[in-house]
Amino acid sequence: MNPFLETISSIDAKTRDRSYLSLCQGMSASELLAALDEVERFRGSASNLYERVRATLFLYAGCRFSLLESTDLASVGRVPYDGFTDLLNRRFEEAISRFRNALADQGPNAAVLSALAEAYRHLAFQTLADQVRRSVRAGRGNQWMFRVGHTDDHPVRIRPELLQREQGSLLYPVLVESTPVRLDLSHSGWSDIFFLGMDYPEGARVVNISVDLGVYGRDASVRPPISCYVRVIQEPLLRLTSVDLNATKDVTELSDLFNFGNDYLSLLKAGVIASGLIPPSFEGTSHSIAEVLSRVAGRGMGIELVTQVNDIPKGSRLAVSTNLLAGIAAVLMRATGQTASLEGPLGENERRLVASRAILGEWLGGSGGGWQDSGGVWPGIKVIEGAPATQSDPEFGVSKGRLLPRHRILGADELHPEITERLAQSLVLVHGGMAQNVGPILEMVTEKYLLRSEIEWQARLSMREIFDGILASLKTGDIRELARLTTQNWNEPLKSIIPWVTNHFTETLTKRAHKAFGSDYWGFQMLGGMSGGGMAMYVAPQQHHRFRDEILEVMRRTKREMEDALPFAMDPVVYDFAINQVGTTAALRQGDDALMPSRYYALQAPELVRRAQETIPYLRRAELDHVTARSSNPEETFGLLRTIVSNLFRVADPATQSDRIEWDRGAHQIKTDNGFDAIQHEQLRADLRSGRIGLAHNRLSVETEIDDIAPGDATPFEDCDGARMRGEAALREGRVAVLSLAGGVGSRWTTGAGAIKALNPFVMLYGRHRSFLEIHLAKTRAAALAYGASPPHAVSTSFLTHAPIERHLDRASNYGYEGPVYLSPGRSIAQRLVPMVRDLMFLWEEMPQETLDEQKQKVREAVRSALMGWARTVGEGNDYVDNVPIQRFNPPGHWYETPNLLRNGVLAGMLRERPQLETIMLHNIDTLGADLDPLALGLHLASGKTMTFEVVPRRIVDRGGGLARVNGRVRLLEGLAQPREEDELKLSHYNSMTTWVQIDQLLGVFGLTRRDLEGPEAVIAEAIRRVAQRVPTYVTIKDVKRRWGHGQEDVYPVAQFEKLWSDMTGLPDVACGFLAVPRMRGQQLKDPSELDPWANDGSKAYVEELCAFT
Amino acid sequence: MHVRKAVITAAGRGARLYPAADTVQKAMLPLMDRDGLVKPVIQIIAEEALDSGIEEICVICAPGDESQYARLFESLKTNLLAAHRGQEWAKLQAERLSHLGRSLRFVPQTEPLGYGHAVYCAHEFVGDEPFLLLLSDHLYVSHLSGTRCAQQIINLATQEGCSVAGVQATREHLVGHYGTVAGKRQANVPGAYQIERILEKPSLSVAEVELHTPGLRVGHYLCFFGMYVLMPSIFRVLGENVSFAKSSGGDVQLTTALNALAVKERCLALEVKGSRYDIGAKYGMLQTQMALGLAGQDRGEILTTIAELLAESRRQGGE
Repeated sequence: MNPFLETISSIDAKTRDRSYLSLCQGMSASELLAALDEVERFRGSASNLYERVRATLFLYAGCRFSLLESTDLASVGRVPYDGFTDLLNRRFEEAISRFRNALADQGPNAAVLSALAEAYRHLAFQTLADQVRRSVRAGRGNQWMFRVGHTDDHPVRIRPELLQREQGSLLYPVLVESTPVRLDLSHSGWSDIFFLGMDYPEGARVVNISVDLGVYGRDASVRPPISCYVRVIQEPLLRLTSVDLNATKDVTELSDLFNFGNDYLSLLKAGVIASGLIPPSFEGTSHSIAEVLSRVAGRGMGIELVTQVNDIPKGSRLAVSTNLLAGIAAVLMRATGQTASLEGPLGENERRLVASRAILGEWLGGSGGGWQDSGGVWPGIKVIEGAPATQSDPEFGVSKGRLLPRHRILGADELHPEITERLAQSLVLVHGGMAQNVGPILEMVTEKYLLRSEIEWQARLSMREIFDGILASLKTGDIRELARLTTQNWNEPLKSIIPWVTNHFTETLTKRAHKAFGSDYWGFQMLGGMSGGGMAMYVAPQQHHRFRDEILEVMRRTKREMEDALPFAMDPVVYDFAINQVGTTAALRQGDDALMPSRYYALQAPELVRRAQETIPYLRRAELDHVTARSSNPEETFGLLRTIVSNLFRVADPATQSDRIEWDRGAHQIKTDNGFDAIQHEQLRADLRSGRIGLAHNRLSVETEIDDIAPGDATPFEDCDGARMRGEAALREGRVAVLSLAGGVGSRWTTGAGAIKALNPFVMLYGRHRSFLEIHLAKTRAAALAYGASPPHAVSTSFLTHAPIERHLDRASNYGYEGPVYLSPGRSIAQRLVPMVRDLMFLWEEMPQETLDEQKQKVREAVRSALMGWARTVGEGNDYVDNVPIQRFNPPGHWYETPNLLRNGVLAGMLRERPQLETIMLHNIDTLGADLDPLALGLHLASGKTMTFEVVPRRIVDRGGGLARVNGRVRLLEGLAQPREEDELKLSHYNSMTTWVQIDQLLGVFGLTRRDLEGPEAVIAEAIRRVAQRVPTYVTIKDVKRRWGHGQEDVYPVAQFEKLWSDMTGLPDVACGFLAVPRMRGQQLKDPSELDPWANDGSKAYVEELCAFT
Repeated sequence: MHVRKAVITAAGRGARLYPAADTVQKAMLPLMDRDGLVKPVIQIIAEEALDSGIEEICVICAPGDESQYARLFESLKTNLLAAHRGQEWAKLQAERLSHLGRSLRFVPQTEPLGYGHAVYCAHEFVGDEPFLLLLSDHLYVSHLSGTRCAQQIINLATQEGCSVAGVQATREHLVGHYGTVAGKRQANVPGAYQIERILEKPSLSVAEVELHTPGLRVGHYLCFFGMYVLMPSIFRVLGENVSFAKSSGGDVQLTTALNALAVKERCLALEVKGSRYDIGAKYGMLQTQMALGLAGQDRGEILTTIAELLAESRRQGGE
């Protein structure tokens, strides 16, 4: 029987849990293809969700990890464009059938298989996500919210207590919900991911503690960090205020309530909807908010919701946002009579309902979370575990487990009587300050678990023992044992399942903590999806106080050392915490106490002060009067007064103002230091505004003929005529140098966070985290060891990257490379601009884009429309200045990085030191497989060309251009310049950017000689300008992050101008050759989500092999 | 088992029917019944019971109302005969009123301790017999010709020898107004459910989680119909609840007692084939009157009136 089908449908757990790899071992490519064909037929007919998902993932793994790397199959092929657009538009089944047809037509090949793998992977995740969505909707207590479509059918009413003002008081009562956050004490290997709990409920278990928080050194005491306030107002609208985000809004239209991208209040909106106050089924109906609220709260009445999370920084890994959603759902459900009690804690069924509403809210808002995240709703220490679906559950017959887990609060017989105190004395909660995106990690985990990969499966089983140990240590009160277990959990199963959970920052912190405290440092615990943000450490009780101070200092120091290399969103903090024994609870404030938090008034007052008095309802005026008259805290009142004055008289906040002046000064300095060309900038701006340049103009004319290359257009990577020997000779004689392009920060890698990709220690190799740059130097070192002459290695930099790279190289002594290392500083800089709306529309509406999951897509569209509004308001084509200086500029494209080498004297220096130097291999920072390969070098030298560009067989992930015949001439075509999107998929080879350059011939292109390099810079600059004019300038849109508040980040699109190196192949007088190299040599690592496949498909091992670390 | 006694609770203030109910008990408000006779509401309800085989009826009323009811019944009869001398229908109605007077007993609810307490007030009247419980502000029209709604419930209770609550599948947005039941369908007894859980006026969210009854249309719940046949054991539970309420405050709810009873002994719910009309609801009197009219001998006349009214309102609306 087909081993895959046997595995999927077996009732024996041992057979069912076999790993993909064990099943395909020993199969040839054709046997595997045949077996997968059967799996595909099975997939089409299987009715059980999990059989279908497992079959889909086996198909994915077969294509991605086995067939794609098989040397028996063709490496090039042609992905059909219609299948590609199906894939982008999430029509996965259609895409799969088109790709399978293409395979049948073309024969099995890596290009189409890569597309097929992508389609299977997406389909598997989509199927799972759809199931979660169905379960959320089908959950009892949520169903009605998807049916009610008319206000007359709306079943909720505001509780009469909230409409009843105390005798003599103007103020309506305020219902306040206080909600703790949750701390995951066991980290049971992400088993709380919904899919996994539903697939394998018996393996999904966590110990989860509700905690109150404060920031050490800032807050006087700990308290439930989340507060949600609700009251009725005498205005027919929904007033939403987030005190922490300084955002407030009167929502009067349903369309605004269901728009999650036009303000900072998306979480509050999702909470309002999920609470059932205005249920999801009202989206798109013709009702007004006033009508709905009139039904719920009475004619002319509205509802006000205010939230505050006590400034707990984002990324705490304590599920602040899920518990905030739960808090909002709880307070609004209480206010509308959906719970038995208005005040106090909730009943068990109500807690479950609140938790499922929080999940619904997350789904609505397009965010994600695990099923334990709303743990703050429950009190104390509890075990949360997956529950098998029973006949009365909507999941029955669909998945093994239920969507919502079971919560079991641990009682006195399961906990040591002093456990609360002991934990408080040893556990230290911190936020390391790193900005993180755990999304890719959660996908990796899901994929691995469902494929039952051997190592991960074993790790997962070992976690069950650790979990039992953790429970036992809570009973015995042995915190040291608990710390040992969480550390073991971290070092063994967690890191072996997902190596990317750790990073250089965390490893350094734990080492330093261990060094400073010796045996008094008891251990580490990861919180949430990955480390670097919220984390926990254990320490001997007598050292607790000292540890908090010292670890804070260590974190700050380590962050300062690494902030160029790793993305940080904020300064590290240490938390104070206490176990919360109540769970979420509410109290009704009445009479004079029925007030909102003081910062609410500071937020509301300025807006009210500006409005004409008669337009403000009496109640609001009277309330403000009451607040100022009543406050016994002079500081609070003074703060309010200051806010009112500065807003009323439009005097900017002095603190912000000083920051701004400092930023502007820094920006000016950058311009001066980097030779900013103001005249050229104004010309480009005028061109951009008038529409002479822009995204649409990047393209070649539509008449341009684009074809794939013909045989002979690219040299095969095969030894002939002694090419390898020739290359080896050149290496031995020291005639070759390396140039690593590191002028850009690699914004996709850190999603615009500003950390420098070249320095990012992203992977553990030979027991240490290594950065891109370190790996490149290690490859050069390998060549030096192999051939004797140490090749010079230059690193091109820019104003963004120069100082940090210099510092890191210095600190690490060039990562142990003994040969000469040069830094080639950038000589040009461009100012980023606020984009033109037409360019944004072109990018978002005309270019092919991957559609997201339904709800996420809605959120994205809302955000985009808000960003277009932003560009209009700020002024299209204006300089982008609302950010720190470094984010305002960009290096003007990698075209300049080689000419800079001429201009800044670095090449001259290299030639002085090594006159025999003839060839430079330049490569992108993320092309990890590029090395001084003698065969590639020999083939280049044999060709006699000025430059040889390495190209790789295209796969579906390779977006943007490739090697083409453009009107009959072979050249590299940039994606930006393609006249038609579909042309891209015709091109069988993709540009790796690795280029072998003959120095003297290149100088010739610029009209220079070696001697000129010593001469006046002006001559060289002029020569560069002449060639630059012949190379197109592209307008591109990049995302930059803007940080504010407590770890908050906004992403803005900015326009920038760039020239690209590959366009050198378009100059008729430059003799260019093309070398078709194996994929592993030329593939680039652009996105952190590619890390795991990179590590698993042999690419990592390939790179490791090339390196010689010290 | 024979059900021969009925209890009608009528102690409420009738606040929803202000100002009429301010001067007269709401149970005495007039409606024209299916037979063309204008009757006080309580008579229509009592006739529902009498036509279903009930022999004695106890009305639980507000303190002081018992004498007023008796006086009103007497004067109604006297005035009717005096004002409409010789009229056949007046004679018929007068006879019915005398019969009713003989069947009715009035018991005051001395303390306002909730609906459960009102029912409890009838325990001496009921004694150790099963009884029919009705509300004074709900009227019923049966969809089974010849079988009253109360009769349907009594039949099932007699057949099964247990308490039966009349229920109606109700659209979800209305569950917050009624006692709502979760149950399991009884094989071989059409329309009957074994009661598993009862909640008084639950929120829809709670109803979805706790009161789901398989076999109903989507978005429907079993809500009380305002009509029950109860075993005398209910008084034990109610008695305990009344003592508890007297010592520690709070209301005595029938729902709570029924919930407790359902745990101890078999209780069924029956989807009654009929409609219920709440005269206290908004436009309740009007709706009830129309329903009675449409179910009775003047159906044609009522339909004509409705059609005329519709045409008129269309003209007034300009459309």
